[in-house]
Amino acid sequence: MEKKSEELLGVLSAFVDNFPISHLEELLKASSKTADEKEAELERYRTIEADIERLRDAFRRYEEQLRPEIEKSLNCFSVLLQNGPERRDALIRQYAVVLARAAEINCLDEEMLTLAGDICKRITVPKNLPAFKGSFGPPSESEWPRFGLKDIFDDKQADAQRFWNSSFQLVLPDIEAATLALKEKKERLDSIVKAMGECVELLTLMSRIMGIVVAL
Amino acid sequence: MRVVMQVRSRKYTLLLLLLITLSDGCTSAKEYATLAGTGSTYAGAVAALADNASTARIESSSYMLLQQRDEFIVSHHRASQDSSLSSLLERANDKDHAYLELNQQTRDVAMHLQDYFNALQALAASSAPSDIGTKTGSIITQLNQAIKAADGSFVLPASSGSKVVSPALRHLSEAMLRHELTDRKTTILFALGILNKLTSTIRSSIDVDVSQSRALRDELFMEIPYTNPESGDLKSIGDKERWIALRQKHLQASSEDVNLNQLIAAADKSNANFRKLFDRMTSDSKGGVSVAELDSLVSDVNVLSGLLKTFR
Repeated sequence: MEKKSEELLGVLSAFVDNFPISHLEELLKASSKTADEKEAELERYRTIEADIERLRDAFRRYEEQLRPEIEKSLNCFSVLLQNGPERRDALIRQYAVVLARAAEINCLDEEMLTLAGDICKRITVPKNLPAFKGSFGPPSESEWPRFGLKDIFDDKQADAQRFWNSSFQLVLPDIEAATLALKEKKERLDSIVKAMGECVELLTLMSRIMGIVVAL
Repeated sequence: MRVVMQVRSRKYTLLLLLLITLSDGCTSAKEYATLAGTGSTYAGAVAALADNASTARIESSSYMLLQQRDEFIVSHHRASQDSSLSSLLERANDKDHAYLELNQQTRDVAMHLQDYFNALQALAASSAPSDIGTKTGSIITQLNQAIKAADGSFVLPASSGSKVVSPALRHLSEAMLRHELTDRKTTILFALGILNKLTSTIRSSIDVDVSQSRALRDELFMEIPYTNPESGDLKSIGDKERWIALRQKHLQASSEDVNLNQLIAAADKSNANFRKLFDRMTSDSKGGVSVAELDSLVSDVNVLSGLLKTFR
């Protein structure tokens, strides 16, 4: 369990360890940002750093306590989905459990979200499910919120995407500084070549006058 | 004579650099340019994937709204329909709008990384090092001739200056590129890791949205009009032709799945291979990366890029 949380948040933790705030301070010192903008960048770094730490603790607790129950409810539901009308009531009851459990999925738990996503795909049209092919037909919206799981899935995915988008802010100053530096290096190389071209013309003239070449 | 010694000393330095170049066996500027170009294409593909996710979501939620509207009309009185349907549409619009903004942010993330790789590629592919080599070579030749004219004992080297200077400067340029990537390795690998997580999240959303769109489209426009004679559909020739087209789309849905699965596989493969080669090209080991491996990476990323263009 412990290992899994480290695996999921490893990329973030490793980066924060390798990219200390002092490195960001150096980058900001060299940048043309205003004092307020620099402070905002540093504040953002501190916030993300604290978020990662909180997330690491929360994920550890999640894996130990919630995750096994979530996994069990989703797997049980997946099996019930294959059953016929004789399990209609059990399927409806389990869907209510799944909705409650899915709301507890950690947005960075890709495995559980994939499982929930697969179920979403299978239940889009309830009347096509074997359990609802009998005389009672599909359940009402109050018994079976048709897009309930899809809504939860979308929200969780959006949370994950938001998290990764904001994580990129950690490296944004470095990427921007590097891009600028590379463009400057290219300009410098180009200007050297240009200067060399002019030098060659000048030296061609100068080489004809020996005294000047020796003086070089 | 002092000048002659200085020129000779400079030549020895250049020769030494040449020897280092030949003995080092490190990645060439051309290979760095290829890696940077591939990185740029990959980041562009992730940006395009975010656009695709937005399109897939709007389509999926539109079918959902139509389905909910149909059910609502059947089960509610006219008086309560207008305001309820309005709020349903409003809620869906707000949610989709937020999702589009999120994808725009992901797009920005990918574009920042693309800018970096573009700048790296421009530097790596710059003709400057070879131009400097040619031009400084020309200067040295002219200087040698001038010095020989002044001092008959000076022996002109057999090779021209450009053959020495050009590889030496190229070596310096490659060292500069290698230094840039090695220095920035943690940042770039982290950024690629984030891009990988974003790709994974987005493609998973696309997968569910595409599946929902297909299921609802078939239910609303293919199945119900056919099985429910009271629906009022399938009366005109045009209705029937449209129905046949939808049925064809429904029965050929497996090709949509194949495209999506190919897209998912290509995204995974591109990211994994790019990170692997990037890691190796910036590592301290002397293993290096073969041209075939780089070609294979370029091909992977091009497949991803091509699939994205034809996906929607």
